[in-house]
Amino acid sequence: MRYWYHMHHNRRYVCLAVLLFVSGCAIQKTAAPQIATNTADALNVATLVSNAQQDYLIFFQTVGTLEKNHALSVDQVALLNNGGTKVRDILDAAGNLCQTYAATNNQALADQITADLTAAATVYAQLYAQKAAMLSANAAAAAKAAP
Amino acid sequence: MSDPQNPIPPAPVPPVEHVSPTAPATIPSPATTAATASSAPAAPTATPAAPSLPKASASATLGKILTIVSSVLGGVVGTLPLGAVTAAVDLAEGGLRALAQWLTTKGADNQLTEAQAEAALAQLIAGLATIASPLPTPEEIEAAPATAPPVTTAP
Repeated sequence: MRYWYHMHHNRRYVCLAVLLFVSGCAIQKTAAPQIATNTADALNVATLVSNAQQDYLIFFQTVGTLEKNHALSVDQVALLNNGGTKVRDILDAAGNLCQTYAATNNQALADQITADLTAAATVYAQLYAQKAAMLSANAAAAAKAAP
Repeated sequence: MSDPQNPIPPAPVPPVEHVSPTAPATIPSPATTAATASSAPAAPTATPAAPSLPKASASATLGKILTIVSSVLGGVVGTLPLGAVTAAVDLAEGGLRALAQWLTTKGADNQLTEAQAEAALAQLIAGLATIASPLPTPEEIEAAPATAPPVTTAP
């Protein structure tokens, strides 16, 4: 049972990471020989970081709306914000590296950006699952309290 | 003549006279007949779901898709009460958005020229949040929708 639970969570993280990565592949290098490899790589990496930053913004906009609608408590939002701060730091760093990478096309920087995005995706997946669990628990409690 | 000791009982009233004033529907119009005939198989006690079968099938398919996506992304299968609906839709929305984005953007920029790609890159880089101009904090984002419309990504 524990093994299944563990594998299930791993699969979720992998799926999210994959979705994050494939969603940003704007240029297929083999299909676009007219675009320089450096430019294509930089554009794809920048797209990935941009998508991740947009996901971060949308996630916490949703959290804010849920809090205003009393679907999430202040404590629950604070818990999500803790994780959000980590994601924010990671994505800020990735954005910074992205600028340097676009100028230098240094492979080590690309690897670091990939690592950052993977870390962000992992935290993000945890936040997503946490939020879903919170909403479910709150809804169940509300249903129980209703006459 | 009649015998007073053995009166003849009154003739029975024809049944038609009892029914006709209060039940005009006993002589239905052709349209009513057709409607009755068509709805007959869907009598409430017989097969109530029969007329809405296509709708139920479509929503069942959609529900199945949402359930699969949500289970992959969040591990929240539709076994949770009430709140599972919100959670599943929420999770599915994120997954479907990413998939839709993948379908619409994957290879979509292959036709760009080098100059156009460089311009797109410059624009994208300029729009990225960095340590120098960091992303807003979660608290700032949560407070933002009250005064500003939410930021949306490409459809």
